[in-house]
Amino acid sequence: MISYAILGITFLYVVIQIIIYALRQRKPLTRDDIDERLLAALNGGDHAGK
Amino acid sequence: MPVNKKKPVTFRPFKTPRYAFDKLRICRRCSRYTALGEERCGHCGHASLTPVEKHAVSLAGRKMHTRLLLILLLTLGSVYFGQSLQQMTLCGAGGIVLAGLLLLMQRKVRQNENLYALNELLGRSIDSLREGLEINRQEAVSVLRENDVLAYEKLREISILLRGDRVARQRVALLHGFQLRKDMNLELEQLLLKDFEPLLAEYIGEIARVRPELIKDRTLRYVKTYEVQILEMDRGPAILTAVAGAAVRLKRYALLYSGMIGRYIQELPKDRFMRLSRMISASPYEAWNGLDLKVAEVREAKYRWDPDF
Repeated sequence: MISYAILGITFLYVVIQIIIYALRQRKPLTRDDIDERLLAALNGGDHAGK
Repeated sequence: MPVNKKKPVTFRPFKTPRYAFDKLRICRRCSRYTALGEERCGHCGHASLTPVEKHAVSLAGRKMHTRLLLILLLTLGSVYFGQSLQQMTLCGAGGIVLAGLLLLMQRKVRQNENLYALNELLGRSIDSLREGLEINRQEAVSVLRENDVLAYEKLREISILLRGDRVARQRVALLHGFQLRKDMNLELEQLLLKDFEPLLAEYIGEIARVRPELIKDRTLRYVKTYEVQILEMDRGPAILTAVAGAAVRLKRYALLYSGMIGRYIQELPKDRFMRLSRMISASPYEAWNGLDLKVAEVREAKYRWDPDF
């Protein structure tokens, strides 16, 4: 019985991971997004003009 | 500073990276960030600097492997607790199928996960990143007296990430001591400040003479905003004339800054004036805002007998 319980937990864990991956894949990040966020964080959001 | 007192220099070739984070490297040992090109980490001294994106890729890979490993461990656990051979086989096969499914998914989303890891890494370590760049800046300032070219090159690299006025002001001050040449890798828009700076105004004047193609909209707006202050400078009128001459390069600028160009039209060199004159003749119905009349006046007064007109 314990072995089925562990298998069940494994199954749930895999399902959750796959859902997380799929959700992230639906709104993919681009390098431009990351670049913009980084520059905004470093320069207080006033980098756009330069 | 008179032109002849300026130092002739050669900068190392520099290519602006496509993304600002391409400049960043992280030390794998002490996690210090740097935007400079040194081989060893300035903090721990180890040659373990790696590009931040590569580091994020390895973090994402490690995370994925850990997840797979956890599934395999759980599978082993379920096999271990199996009460019969059938149960053990079933649990083992089930675990392997689940691990296979996760592996397939991981392969599919790997590129995106790498970017998520990079985003997370940069977001999480923004404070140490700021600290690392500040150390880089101080390093550049510390070599300023012995080697101003090296200091400028370091500041140029840092300015890819730190785009505030502080680094730009230091770069302008350093550039002021160098003799500018056409073949140099020069920039202007990145150096524009929020307030008036005489050294920047002088630099703009020099750029207008050496590399007029770098005079663009933002520079022209800066010059227009601080026109009065520039005029008060010793070489102010010469700077403004040079900028007006550079603005004549494009019809759009000539139309947008017709007022400013009109104020310095008398001093424009002949080739610049000819260009403006031809531009106006080619589009006489554009809204020149009186610039066309001024050009006609100057042409009449200065170039009446000139066969080029």
